[in-house]
Amino acid sequence: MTRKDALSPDAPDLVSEATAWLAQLETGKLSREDLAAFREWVQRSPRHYAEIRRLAELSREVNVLAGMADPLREAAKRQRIVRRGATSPRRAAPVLGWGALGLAATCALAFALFAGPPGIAPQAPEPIYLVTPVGETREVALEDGSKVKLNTDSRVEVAFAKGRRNVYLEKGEAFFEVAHDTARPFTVYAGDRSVTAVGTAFSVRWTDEELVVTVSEGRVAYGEAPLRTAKSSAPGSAEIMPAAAPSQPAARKMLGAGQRLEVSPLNRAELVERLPENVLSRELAWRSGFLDFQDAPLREVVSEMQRYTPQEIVILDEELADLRFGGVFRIGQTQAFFEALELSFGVDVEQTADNKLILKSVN
Amino acid sequence: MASDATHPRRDAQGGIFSVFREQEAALRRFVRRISPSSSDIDDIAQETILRALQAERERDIQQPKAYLYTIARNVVRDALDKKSRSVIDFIEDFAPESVSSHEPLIEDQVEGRQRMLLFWEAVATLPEQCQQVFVLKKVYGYSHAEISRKLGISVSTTEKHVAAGLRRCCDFLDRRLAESGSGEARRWWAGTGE
Repeated sequence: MTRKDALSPDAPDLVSEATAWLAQLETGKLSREDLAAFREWVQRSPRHYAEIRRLAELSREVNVLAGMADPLREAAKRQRIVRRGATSPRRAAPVLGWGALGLAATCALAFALFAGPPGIAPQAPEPIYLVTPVGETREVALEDGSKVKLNTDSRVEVAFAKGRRNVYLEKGEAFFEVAHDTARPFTVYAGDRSVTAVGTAFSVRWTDEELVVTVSEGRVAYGEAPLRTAKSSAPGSAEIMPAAAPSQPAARKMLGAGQRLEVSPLNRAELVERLPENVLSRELAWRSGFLDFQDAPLREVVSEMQRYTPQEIVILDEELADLRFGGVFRIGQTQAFFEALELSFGVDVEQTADNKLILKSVN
Repeated sequence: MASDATHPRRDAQGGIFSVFREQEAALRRFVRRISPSSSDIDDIAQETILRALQAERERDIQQPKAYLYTIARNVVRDALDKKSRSVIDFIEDFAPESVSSHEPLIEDQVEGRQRMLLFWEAVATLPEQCQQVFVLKKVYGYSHAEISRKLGISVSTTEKHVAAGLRRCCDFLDRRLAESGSGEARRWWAGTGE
């Protein structure tokens, strides 16, 4: 298998074609020409047939979403708690009354709601869930004027209450620009730590039990926080949340602009260091949709790239893993990274049948 | 219909039917709400009580009211399923003879509510208009023609959004299955080569 296959896999195209055909079939009313074209397409290979058959089954499975109808209606009745962020300035006309409501909000409400018996209104203010799939980022404006930008494969729960603004980073990485409000501290919980700000800008990363907090403006206070119960796996248990979030956070240490806190995944030891300006901007480059590496070992670069693609990347040779590497890449365009590896570093990129990407020295 | 002394039934004489009578108006409003596109509320109400009576013959129903709503929901969902199945049947007519007919169902691999949340997460990441289209279709059961009228977009744009929505659900599911180490996801991704 050549590199070309790795860079332009044909499976996604097959999926796209199949979903397009399926949507057309679901509309009904195929013309004679359409039908002939469909017949030609579906009979092109057994894979074509298998793909559309599988997706038709999936489409049927997705009908479980009908269960969201009632929670969504309930949600639409309730207060709007999220405005859509700058990434979606255009707002379509309300549909069924919920269109104007940020779907993230309705989504969150739904999470909290649908577990209850029908017709019974929820009690506590509902949390909002924000998610990004692998390879995408997303910016959302919160009701208090703060902004959250989510990096790839991340999940954040926003639970604002009267005297506090609590945010739970369940996985991934997020950058927060906090609107100033001394009466309501803004606290981000990630794993066994919490980070509190009043008005400042910082990022929190929680991946594989490793916590990294980077402050770009102002100061934050941080400290240990009780681990949350695995409530995300038990939607509807929103009522346990306030208990999990102490109103008075534990002993605080301060972190200033340009500083980074790392909590080791091994022994939970804390390491604080000051980052030079250029390192700081590199670390936060993802906010503008870029990844910026300079003189970094390939193993680190790959583990970073891995966050943005569902394909598993494997480095075959040890000396290759130690190779120093630099470059700027756009998030979501991982191909450019592999091209650069091949062209400038003499690395062979090979895709296996089970869709792994294997990196090895050319000779 | 035994209601024994150790396990007394709250509503012994009327059973689920009397609860249905009490609840009928509210139940109809509920159906209208979760399925604004369904033309025949009568049919759905009727099917609901039939299934409830059937179930009552087989076992004791602890919370008849909640149970009725659950059934109504299922009936609505089954109507959606019927549409999907007719498309599947249509596709199966094109099956090459060499293809073995059955793959494990997603249902077998991911439990119902989890599936719903998973797909919902996928929907939450869709661009706005795409999201609207997909919700109208999959949550409220609108047809493509109804959606295009409602949103003032062409049918082909509707189809494009429906396809994109399904694609996103597909990606989320693949990822979930891969995380849980199921071989299924591998097979799907492995479609890229021999």
